[in-house]
Amino acid sequence: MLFKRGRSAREQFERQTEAIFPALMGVALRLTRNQEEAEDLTQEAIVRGFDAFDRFDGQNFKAWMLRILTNLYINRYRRLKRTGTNVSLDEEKVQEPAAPEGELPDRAILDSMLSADVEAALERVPESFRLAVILSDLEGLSYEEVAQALEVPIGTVRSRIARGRAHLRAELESFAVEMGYIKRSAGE
Amino acid sequence: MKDELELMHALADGELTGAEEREARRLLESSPAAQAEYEWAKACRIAVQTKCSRHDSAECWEKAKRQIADIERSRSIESFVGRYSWALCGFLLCTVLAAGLVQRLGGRPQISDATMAGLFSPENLAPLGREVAQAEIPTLIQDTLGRANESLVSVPEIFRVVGADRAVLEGRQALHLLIEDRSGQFSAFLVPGVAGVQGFDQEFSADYQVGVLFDQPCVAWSNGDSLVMITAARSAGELLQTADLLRSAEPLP
Repeated sequence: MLFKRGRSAREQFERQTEAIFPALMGVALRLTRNQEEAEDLTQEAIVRGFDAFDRFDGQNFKAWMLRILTNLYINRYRRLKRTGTNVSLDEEKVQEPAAPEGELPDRAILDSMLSADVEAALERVPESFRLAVILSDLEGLSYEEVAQALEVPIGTVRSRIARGRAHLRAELESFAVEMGYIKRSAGE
Repeated sequence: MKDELELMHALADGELTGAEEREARRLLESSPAAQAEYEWAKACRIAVQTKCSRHDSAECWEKAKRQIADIERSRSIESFVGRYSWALCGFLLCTVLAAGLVQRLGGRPQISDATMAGLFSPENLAPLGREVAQAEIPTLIQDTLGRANESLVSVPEIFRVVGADRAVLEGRQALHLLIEDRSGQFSAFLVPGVAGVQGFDQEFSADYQVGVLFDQPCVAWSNGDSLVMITAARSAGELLQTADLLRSAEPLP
């Protein structure tokens, strides 16, 4: 479905964007880790989205907007990378988390953790995996929608989500050990 | 193993169907590791959903809305210009043509002071060097301007033409007369088809334009279809008096 330009298109765009605005902001914030940059990124994505709204196929607005936002972020990141900023989105270079050696943080432990602890652990998950986990677990996108948003094959999404959760588990595990929720394994 | 773990996550997320789902469920029942991964995937999903906050910023949304409004405004302007550009161009062209037509039919152009200064170049300024009989003046003016010019009447007791020359100014046959009066000599230029001099002002009088060319005051006025400009090494006030005298002279017979 292609939308007609004009007042109705703008109203339609605004209505749909307002509904997913918290999701856009949330993803932007978790990507940039900075309120100001997140707001800039979100605004730019919205402007780009409005600019390209007549090319929206009408299928999944949230996935479409998230794709715009993540592409913007990645392009911005690539520019930073070219200028020498030391961050990486390359999942090949991301070190796999160590296999769980001790107890896994179970549901009860996860429940006892504060939101800030989970947020902090999530922040330490490498970029591309974190994004897949956020889109799937927090924003509730299906794998197919995540694949659309990130413009990657569905198999890659599956892999990123599993690996992202493994990283998250490792982060939570070390936090749980620090807090004494679980014991360190004998070998450590 | 890696694939099996991924399979467990996909199963926990409800992303498997058909054969893949059957395989994952078989694995779930037979492998404790797969079961642990499955449980973790579910727990992780719930933890992220419940522990991670959603973010909102009314201010940011308002800013974005303002930007959208700005974009739409500029789009409508662009669209208007795009849609009606031919009309705008046509209107502009018609205006130019109409202005040209009005100028041609009713109005007369102005000539720049720099162009008028060209009359002062040695080639154009040099008088003929012969005394022109007063009787020749009307013919000379008529030959140059195409018809009798009423302003430059020769009144022998006041003005005496002592020299004359023709010059071409922007394709027009201009006439230069060297005239003598009681204060000495002055030059008078007659340019047909011109109404005024750009760069001269009308501070002194509504009838005259006063300017300076080559440090010499000039007074110009429109006379019929022609422009008359006089200049001499005298003050602008004296030149204005001279101009008044010239204009009050009797018309040519």
